[in-house]
Amino acid sequence: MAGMLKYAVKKIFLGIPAILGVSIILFSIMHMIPGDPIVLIVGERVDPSRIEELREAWGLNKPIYIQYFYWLSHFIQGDFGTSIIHRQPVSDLIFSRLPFTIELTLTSLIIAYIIGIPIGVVAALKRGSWIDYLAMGFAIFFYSMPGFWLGLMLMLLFGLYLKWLPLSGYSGPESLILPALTLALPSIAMIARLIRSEMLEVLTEDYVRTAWAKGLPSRTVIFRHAFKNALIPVIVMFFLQLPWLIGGAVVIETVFAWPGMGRLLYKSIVRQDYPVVQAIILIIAILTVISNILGDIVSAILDPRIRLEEAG
Amino acid sequence: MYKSKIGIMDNVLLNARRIIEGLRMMFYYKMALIGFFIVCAVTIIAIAAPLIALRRYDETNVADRLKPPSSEYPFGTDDLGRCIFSRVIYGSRIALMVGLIVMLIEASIGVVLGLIAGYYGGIADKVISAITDIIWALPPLVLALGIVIIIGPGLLNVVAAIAIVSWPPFTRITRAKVQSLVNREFILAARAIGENNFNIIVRYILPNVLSPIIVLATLTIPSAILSTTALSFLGFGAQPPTPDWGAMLAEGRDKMIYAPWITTFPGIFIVITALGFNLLGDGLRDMLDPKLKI
Amino acid sequence: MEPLLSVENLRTYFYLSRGVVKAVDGVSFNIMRDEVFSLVGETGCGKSVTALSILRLIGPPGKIVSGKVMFEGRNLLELNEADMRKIRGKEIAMIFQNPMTSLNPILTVGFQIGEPLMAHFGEDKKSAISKAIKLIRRVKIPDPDIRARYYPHQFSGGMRQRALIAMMISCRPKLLIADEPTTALDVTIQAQILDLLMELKKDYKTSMLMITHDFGVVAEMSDRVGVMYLGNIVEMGEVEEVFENPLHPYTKGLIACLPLKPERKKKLEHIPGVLPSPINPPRGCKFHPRCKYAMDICREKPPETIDLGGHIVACHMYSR
Repeated sequence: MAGMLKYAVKKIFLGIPAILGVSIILFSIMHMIPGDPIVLIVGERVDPSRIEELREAWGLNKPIYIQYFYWLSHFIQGDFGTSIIHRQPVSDLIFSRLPFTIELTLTSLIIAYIIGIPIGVVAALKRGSWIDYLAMGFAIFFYSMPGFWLGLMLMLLFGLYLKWLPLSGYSGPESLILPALTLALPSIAMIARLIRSEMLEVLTEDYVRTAWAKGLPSRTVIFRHAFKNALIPVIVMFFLQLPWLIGGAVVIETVFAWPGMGRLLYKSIVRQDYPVVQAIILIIAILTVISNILGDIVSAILDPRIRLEEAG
Repeated sequence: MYKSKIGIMDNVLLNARRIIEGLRMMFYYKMALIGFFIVCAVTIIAIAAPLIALRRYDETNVADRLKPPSSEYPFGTDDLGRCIFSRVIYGSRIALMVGLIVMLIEASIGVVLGLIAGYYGGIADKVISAITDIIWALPPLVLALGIVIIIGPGLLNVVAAIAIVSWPPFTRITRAKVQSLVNREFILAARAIGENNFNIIVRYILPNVLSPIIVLATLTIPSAILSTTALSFLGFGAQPPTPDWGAMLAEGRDKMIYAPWITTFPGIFIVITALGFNLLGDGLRDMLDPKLKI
Repeated sequence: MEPLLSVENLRTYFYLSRGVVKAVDGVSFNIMRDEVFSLVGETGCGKSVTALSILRLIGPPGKIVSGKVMFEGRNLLELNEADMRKIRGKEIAMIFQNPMTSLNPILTVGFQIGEPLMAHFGEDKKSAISKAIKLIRRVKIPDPDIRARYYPHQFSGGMRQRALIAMMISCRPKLLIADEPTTALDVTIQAQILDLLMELKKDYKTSMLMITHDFGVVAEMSDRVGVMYLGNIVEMGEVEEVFENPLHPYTKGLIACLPLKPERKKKLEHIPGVLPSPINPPRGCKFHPRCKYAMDICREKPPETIDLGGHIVACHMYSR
């Protein structure tokens, strides 16, 4: 357990440079945006001397690396600046919407795993059968489908024609079903394909043959020896998928008018509300690095080889 | 130097044999074959668009606004009376161009960096790998949005943004493959006879890393098409009256209740096109490099 | 005396897209109680597939096409899966070639050794593991209590093979199949593992089927030997008899290759040619393209097996 803790701490420390790297990239990106940030914030019809005053007050006349540290130290303290459009702290805006995004992405990931894993395992065990072809055919079909279009079609079917579910917006838990399903379907396809190929690989491993030769019941061989090994990369994928889903959520939240962070990002880009854009992208980057670290830690918990080699 | 000429000839022959073997094996993989036919069909549609389309893609006909599908307008019309069928047909040109351009940019950046990182190792490898890891960890769509903010909207800008954020898989696969090759006997032999690094990379290493790159390139095209349509759908990509499938979906979205055909047909074509390339890419992987994980 | 295991005319084919590989093509042999029988031959001759077929561990695209595997009066090829499971690991156990990959990386060694006890005797985890510790001690791994909690990658190759042996003798099987148990190991470890196997064989009164390409191992360990070539047994008999008086040209070649016989010190011999493609084996006697005694009939007709008083050979030279 001490080794595990050491490993986790090491991984967390390795994540810090990644976050700093992203913050530098992001800061540079925001600096490359055409236009004077002060003018953007206070508007154009402000007295030039007043603009200079503000520039002085916000440290925008300092060298760029000073400005970066200035910005970073504010960010660490949770001060992400003020939204140009909403005229309120960016942190308030984001944290009121973040739970919606997390609810949506986590729900769809869980749906994807609950449905995708059995499909992939059955397809692997019945390799070459019609079940396998059907499952993999569906998987590649949903894999090839733009999420937002799938969302529109589901809206059309369940919201408009069948009237079973609310079209869009947020009016209670049933509002979650369509966007979560839209986000989940391509992930189901991905998970099913992944666990299938992992299972097929593991089933040919020598240790699975050993398990058969020991005379274990087939479910023990398949679950204890094959499935547990095949599951490791798939579980790690859970954490690697999370940031990608947040990216996908930008489009899906916009389609379904879901009041989350992705839609806020979209609207802020359209309205050129750059402090919000900057903060959201950096938060997504941080979430990404965190979920990568979690992925590493979880894989170390599940796989003794990683745990013992890297901690030692 | 005649020695290296023999090297090239051998490589050509070897590759030709591999390609013939690949074509032969392709018939064992029905899925890949279906994918191949879809890709061919879409390509033919794109090339012959003016012959297939019934009208010009920007021809408006106010009298025929929002007509449902009929013999005159097979996929119906939009709110400007434009023929959806003709626009979808012309749209295949944009989709294929986008897919190809993004793939070519990504492959060039990614393969070059991967070759450098894998072949030279050391600091070059550390720096390239760090950049690759950071970019790849971030959601590409979000990153591409960030770039579009700087360089502004437009189809070409979106293409550039997507290519800039999506090359890491090429680097990773090339690097891993090169690393497995650099200490092999034939590379050491090439060094021993005094070949320079550039020649070794181009003549000895590149031919051997080609098959995973081909697979990845094929699978990059559909994901590039899907990403561009997503950004176009959000309004950052192709601007009207370009018959981009994503932009068409965006235009039809608020009319979905009374004119669902505007959103349905371009979407179906996106799915078919992406499906074709995905099937082909999967099949190529099974044939060329079954253990490859993409 | 009734043999413990009797393989009759076993055929196992692999159906590949390029053609059918007849990996085992009509193999028959017996193993008596308390006997060590060896199958010897080059890589790809079908000896491992024969062993896997006995335990019915052949997966697609391979298939056992015909034959009988009689074990204590029952044909294993006709048992249902549940009865077959009771044979595997309990009556007949098998040790594999590559100890590095034959243990599950995410389960402790102790648990894996105890698993057959749980499966066959319904033991609970705790008592199975405590018995596993005794078995680990029995196969001479030091510090068994600690090592039982280790994962396979913390073991060396030799220790892993010992652990696999412990796992496979845990249920005191009547027949132990060892498929090239020392091939993947260092030379110094090989002798230790073979000694251990022989010791356990005596203690447990187990019969053994030894699969190897090494005639030295055969000479040292077994009572009888079968020589395989491209899916057939070409010669079979008592080890001394086969060594002193090899009949089949292939066996003669194999024995002539051995460096250990002092009277053959002049020059090491070799068998000319290479193993032909198993998809398109030669017509007639499969060995004829490499045989310096080949006659016309060898190219036409596969030879019958001839029993010369317990020494069996399949070669036209000995037919009447």
